Amino acid sequence: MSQTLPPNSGHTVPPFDADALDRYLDGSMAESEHAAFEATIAGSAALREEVALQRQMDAALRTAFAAPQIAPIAGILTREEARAFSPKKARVGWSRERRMFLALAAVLALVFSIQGYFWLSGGSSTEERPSLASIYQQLVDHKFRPTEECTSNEKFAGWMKSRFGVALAPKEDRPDVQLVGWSSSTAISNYTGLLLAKVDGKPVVVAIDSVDRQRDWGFPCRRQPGDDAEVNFFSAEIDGIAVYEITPLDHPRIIDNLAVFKPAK
Amino acid sequence: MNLEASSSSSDTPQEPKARGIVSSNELAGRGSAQGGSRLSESEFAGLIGRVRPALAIVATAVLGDRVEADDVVQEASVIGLASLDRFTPGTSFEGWMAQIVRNVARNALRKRARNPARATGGDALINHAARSGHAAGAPAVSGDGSVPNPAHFDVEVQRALQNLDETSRVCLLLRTVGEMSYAQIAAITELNENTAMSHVFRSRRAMREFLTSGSGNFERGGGR
Repeated sequence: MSQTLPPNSGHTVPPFDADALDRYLDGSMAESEHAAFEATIAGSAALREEVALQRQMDAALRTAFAAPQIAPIAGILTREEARAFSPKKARVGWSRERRMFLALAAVLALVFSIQGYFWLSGGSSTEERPSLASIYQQLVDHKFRPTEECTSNEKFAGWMKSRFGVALAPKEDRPDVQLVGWSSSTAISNYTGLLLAKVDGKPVVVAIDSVDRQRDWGFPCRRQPGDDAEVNFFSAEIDGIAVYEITPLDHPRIIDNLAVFKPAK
Repeated sequence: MNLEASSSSSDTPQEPKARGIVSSNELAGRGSAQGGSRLSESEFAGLIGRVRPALAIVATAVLGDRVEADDVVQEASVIGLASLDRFTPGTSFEGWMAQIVRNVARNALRKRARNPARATGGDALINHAARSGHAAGAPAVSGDGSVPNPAHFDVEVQRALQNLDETSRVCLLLRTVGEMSYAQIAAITELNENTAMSHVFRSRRAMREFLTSGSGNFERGGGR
């Protein structure tokens, strides 16, 4: 059954097979139809706008609701960890399931207290956003634990691409720089990513967001009264990405080594 | 609308492969591999780790908030672990967990309604836009198809999403964000594949109309 899209105030879409547009936008159109429908699109400015709008919507949804960068339970809770969180002396009458339940709850509460703190304290307005110095201090105070590990440049680039549309990654491996993993914050926008790293064994954090969002949401606050972390701030813009290195060192060691990732041939 | 024809055609392109999401067949195989006995804790941990991205999307669809969704999935995982004896091996593990996630998320929504000051994520984004002077209801797309204000556009996309019904949001986000096949979406939502596809298609149309015409004539339910 074919149906036509009704006109609206923004676009005037001529009558056509709306089901075909749905399947085209969904990526589920049969190959036999695909070429012909693309020709139809090429001949219609309204259809092109409809397709472009859908692509922008999809990108906005992916950016806003990308799968949370958190470690799965299997990666958080091992039997050894569960035992470590269990009471020293097993209580009579507690089943293994009960102890597992309590251990899981304890570990999850610990892991997510960091992220929860940022979001609950970050709020949405510029005034309520945490400063870069306070973010650094909180991460250090919570043992510098990321919500997702970063083990390779490919993974680094993939994370950047999925979050910000630009596959930045370190240009070269530096023996004194150890990438620890990723976390998130509201320092710049609701989508700010945090790269946790160790440089010369010292914790360093890089806050990352798109320049567009920084323009819309405002520059991050570097330090507020009461922030006692002894850190320096370095910033750069790389291919539309705003990066802020928060470090106890005197020179940036990470953001000067970032560039668009080129996979090895 | 003949959705059956499009999905069964021999030259239909392959469904996009979901990232980090276990297929329903694979899950069913793992479940039935237990020989009818219930899942062990370690098996549960393995399965939950693999379906976690999908569950997070389900929670996000209910809540409209990515971060709060993390908490919901954690809580649902604990409930699932404590209720393992209620899961029937061989049935859809992701469907069972998704239902727990939706229930926990609805409870969270009720809590949020009682304490709106804690709104974060999507709600916070919309609130921020309101304070920044973005006019809610104004078209996010100009007559020439351009997006004059990307931040406003992002907010309007989320507003459009929130105007869909819950099932439509779940189906749309599983497809768009999770890049899942309709078979996988069906396993999670316990809808049939064609119904899931219809939800996705109707949702996209409704959201495009919302964005080009503003919220004035938007109808709930994901359809025009």
